[in-house]
Amino acid sequence: MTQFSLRQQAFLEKEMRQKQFVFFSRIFLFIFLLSLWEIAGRQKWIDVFFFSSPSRILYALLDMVKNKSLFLHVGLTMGETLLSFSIVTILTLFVALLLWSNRALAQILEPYLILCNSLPKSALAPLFIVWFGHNVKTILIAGISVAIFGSILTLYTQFKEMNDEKSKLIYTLGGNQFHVLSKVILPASVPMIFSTMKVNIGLCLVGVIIGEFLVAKAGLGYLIMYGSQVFKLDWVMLSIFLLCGIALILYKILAIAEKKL
Amino acid sequence: MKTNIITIQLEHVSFAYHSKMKETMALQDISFNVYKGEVVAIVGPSGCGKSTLLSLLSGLRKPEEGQLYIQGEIGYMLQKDHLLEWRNVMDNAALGLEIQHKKNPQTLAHLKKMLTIYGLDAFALSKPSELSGGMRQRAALIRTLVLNPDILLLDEPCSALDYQTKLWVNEDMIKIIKKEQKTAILVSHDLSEAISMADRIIILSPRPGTIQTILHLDFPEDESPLQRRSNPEFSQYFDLAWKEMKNSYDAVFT
Repeated sequence: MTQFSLRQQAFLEKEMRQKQFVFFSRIFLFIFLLSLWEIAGRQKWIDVFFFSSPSRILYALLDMVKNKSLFLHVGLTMGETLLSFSIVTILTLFVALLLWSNRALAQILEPYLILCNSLPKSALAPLFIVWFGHNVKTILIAGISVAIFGSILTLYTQFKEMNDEKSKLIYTLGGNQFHVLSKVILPASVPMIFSTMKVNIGLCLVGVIIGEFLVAKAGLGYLIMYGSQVFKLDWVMLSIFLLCGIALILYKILAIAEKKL
Repeated sequence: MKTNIITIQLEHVSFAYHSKMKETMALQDISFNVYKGEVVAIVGPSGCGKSTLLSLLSGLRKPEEGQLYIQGEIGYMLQKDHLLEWRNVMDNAALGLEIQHKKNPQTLAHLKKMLTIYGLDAFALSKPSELSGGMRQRAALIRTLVLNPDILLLDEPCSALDYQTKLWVNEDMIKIIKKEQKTAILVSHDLSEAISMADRIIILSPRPGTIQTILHLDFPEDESPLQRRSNPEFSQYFDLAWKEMKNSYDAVFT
C-alpha cells in the first residue's frame, strides 16, 4: 500500500466528492423530470391522453411483459439494427481500404459518396419499398443506407491522412503496400474505427426505425407508428424510452469491446 | 576496416522532384564510389539533396539520369525512430524480420542477443514510450541491423537527441558499425559529427546538389568519435570543411 501525503489525500478526496456530486445530480435530474411529468398529469396541467405519464408508461410496459409482445418488438428492432450495423462495418472497411489502395478510384467516387452522404435517406424509403417489397429487406437497407456513406468517407479520409513517414519505414524495411496496411494503417486506426462504429450503430438504429415506420408488422418503429394512429400514446412513449435503452446498450457493448482490445 | 572493394558506385546521377507548379532539381551530376567497410558522411546546407541521395541509394526512388550500382543488402535508418506504440520494443525490433518473412527461432535468438548487447533486454516487453531518446534510437538501429544489411544508410539518426546523448549514441553506433564490419553512409548537417565519425566526407553544394568537394580524413584507425574530437587535426579538418561549405554557399547566394 502506498502512503499518500496529506495534500495528495485531500486532492483525491476532492476529486471523489466532485465525481459523486455529478453522479447523484444526474440521477436526481432524471427523477425530478419524471416526477414533474407525473404530477403535471395528475394535476391536469397536461392531458395524459396525449402526453402519457410515467405511471401509464410503466403499466404499458408491465402489460407487454405479461403478454410477451415486448420481447418481440425489442428483439426485432435490436436484431435488425445489429444486422445492418454488421453489414455497414464490413462494407465500410472493405470499401475504405479499396479507395485507399486505389487513388484514381477514390478520386472518381469521392463526389458520388459526398452526394449520397448529404442526401436525406428517408427520401429514398418509398423507393426501397417499391424495389425490395414490404419486408425486412427494406428495413435493413434503410438502416444500412443511413450509415454507410458517411462512415466510408470518414474512414477513408483517416486512412489517407495516416502518417506517410511510418509508411516510408515499412518500405525501407523491404515491405510493400500490403505491409503498410497490416502493420501501420490498420493497427493505428483501431481507435478511429471504433469511434466510427459508435456513430454508425446510432445511425443504423435511425434507419431501422424509418424502415419500420413504413413496412414493419412488428418492432418498436411499428409500435410507435401504430400507437400514434390508434391514439395509444403510452405505447409511443414506452417505445421511445425503450429506444433510448437500446441505443445505450449497443453503445456500451462497443465501448466494452474497445476496452478489451 | 576500409578495403578496396567498391560496394556503391554512382555515375552522373541526377534527380528532380516534380509537382504541378514546378520542377525542383535536387541532385545534379553526382558521381562517387564507396568502398566496403568505409564510413562516408554526406554534409551540406539544408535542401541540398542529402536525403534524396539516401532515397536513391535505398531504392525508394530511381535516378532520373545516370547509373547507380549497389553491391549488397541495404539497411536504411530514418531520421526519427518511428517505433510503433502498439508494439513492445522486441516486436518493434522484429518488424523488419516479420515483413521479410525471416522471423524464426534463429533470428529471434539473434535479436534477443542484440537487445542484450545494446542494453535493452530489460525493456524488451516495454512500450516505446517508456524508453529514453537514446534507447529508442538504439532499438531502431537494432531493427535495421538484425536484418544483417551490408550497407547502412543513416539519415541524421541523432537529430532528435540532445547533445550529450547524441555523442554517446554516435560512439555506440561507430563501435557497432566497425564491429559488424558494415559499410555506412551517414547524412548529417552537423560538420563536427561528420568529422568525428567518417573516413571520408562528401560536401554537397546548395540546391541543386552537386559535389563541392570530397575530404579524406586521416585519423588513427582505432580512435573513437570522442577521441577524434580531442585530436588536434580535428579542428584543422573542421576549418577546411567549413571553408569549402562557405565557398559553395557564397558562390550561390552572393
